[in-house]
Amino acid sequence: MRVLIASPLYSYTGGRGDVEATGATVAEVLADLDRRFPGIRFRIVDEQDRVRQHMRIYVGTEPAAALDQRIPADQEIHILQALSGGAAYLTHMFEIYEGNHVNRVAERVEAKVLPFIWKNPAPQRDTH
Amino acid sequence: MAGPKRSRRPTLLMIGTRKGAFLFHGDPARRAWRLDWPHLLGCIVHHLVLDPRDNRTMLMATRTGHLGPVIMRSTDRGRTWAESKLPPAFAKAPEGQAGRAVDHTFWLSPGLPSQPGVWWAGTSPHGLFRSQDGGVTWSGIEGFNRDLVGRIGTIGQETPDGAVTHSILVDPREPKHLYVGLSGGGSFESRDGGASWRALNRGVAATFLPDKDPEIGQDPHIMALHPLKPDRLYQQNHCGIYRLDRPGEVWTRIGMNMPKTVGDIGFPLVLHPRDPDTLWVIPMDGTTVWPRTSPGGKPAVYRSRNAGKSWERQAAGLPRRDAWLTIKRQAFATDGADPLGLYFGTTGGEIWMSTDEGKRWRVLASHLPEIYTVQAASLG
Repeated sequence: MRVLIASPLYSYTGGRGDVEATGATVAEVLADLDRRFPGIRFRIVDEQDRVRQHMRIYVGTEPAAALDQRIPADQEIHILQALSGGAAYLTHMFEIYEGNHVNRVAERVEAKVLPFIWKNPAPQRDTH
Repeated sequence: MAGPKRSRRPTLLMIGTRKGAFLFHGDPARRAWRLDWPHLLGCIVHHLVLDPRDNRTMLMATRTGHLGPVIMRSTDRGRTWAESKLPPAFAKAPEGQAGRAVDHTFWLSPGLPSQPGVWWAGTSPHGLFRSQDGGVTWSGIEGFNRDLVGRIGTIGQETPDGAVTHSILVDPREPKHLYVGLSGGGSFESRDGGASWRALNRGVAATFLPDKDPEIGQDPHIMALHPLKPDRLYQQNHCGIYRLDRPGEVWTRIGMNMPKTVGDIGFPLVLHPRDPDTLWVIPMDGTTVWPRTSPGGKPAVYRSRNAGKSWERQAAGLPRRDAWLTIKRQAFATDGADPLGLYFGTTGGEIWMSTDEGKRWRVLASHLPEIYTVQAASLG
């Protein structure tokens, strides 16, 4: 299946953000990724099999509930880093929408980004 | 009359910051310095240590804000880096129990020359790990990670940056004889390679605890053992500067001999590698809410040449006023050259250096990210 990977992990994938892996569950996909890209799993999941605080795993568009969650056929896996840093106190949001790099930018800014900024004034401190 | 003997060897200065590592290459006179490119730019570098057994291998304890912690290795003195295959990690907890996870490796200590490839690592939360293959793979010391940490409990776990295991000191006469410092835990000794530990905190104040003279729970910021006199230990503690001469068991607060207006609170402490009686500290303001900045805005290094009986202020070249520097515990180093070079890095990204054992200071670099660690080596 297709696994889309966040840029901080590109050092493991040779610069690729779009890789292939196999597995019936999230845990199996992570194990397969670690075989292909040694060390990558420990950056995402700790030694107690907990997804690290600032990492997120999605099956399709839904957050993975557990590592043993089964993956439906034809689903993509997204391994992302949470928006933290200065916005650590905000609720994290993630959304996939149809479009290319340019055709819906204005609409998204108006419908999503500006209301978000108005609702959330400047952060008080930068934690990173 | 001939002048003092001058070092003819180049110097390597290793800087770890909140945003990557930086290597400065100094000429033998330590006047001209070349900074090479940032290494792992954006990564938090807690410790960066050159192996004195080969002067080529370097280990770096690093993580990013998002990803898990790793150890990076270089076998060509920092030109290229590769990740360790099995970084420090705690044992998996039994099903249904919450296990601990390494947040970051905080401290790295090379083993003795008689044990090539051996390294020690201290972590946050408290943990002790050992490598026998130059840092490629690491295994936990259960006598520490399970037994000692269990005894300490939650003391110190709530410190702002997390509890850290640091100052892993190996007796040069006996590799199984270890000392280690735990922030919010105290100083401990093992004579069996880490299988069992005993507290070594008598005489050390713990004003932040209800029991002012507890067996454990003290807060050493850094400890050092003198290589030429391995029975001599020094520590800069949350509650003062101390010396212990073994087999003695009670630390002496040598910081009481510091000027009262300056106090004896600080993070770093370094020793003169050729004189067990000479050491340096950098005091900070530990009053009221603990600003941790230069007392009165007047930064100074203090040297003792008689094992702490008296201290002298060394501030020539440092700002005379209005300078509020913070220097972390791993950000003060000596280079081993003769005369001894001293270097410290600030959380404001400046590196200050002296090539005459602290008599005069100058800025080596500014505008670096927040400095976590400074190490220096005179290269053969």
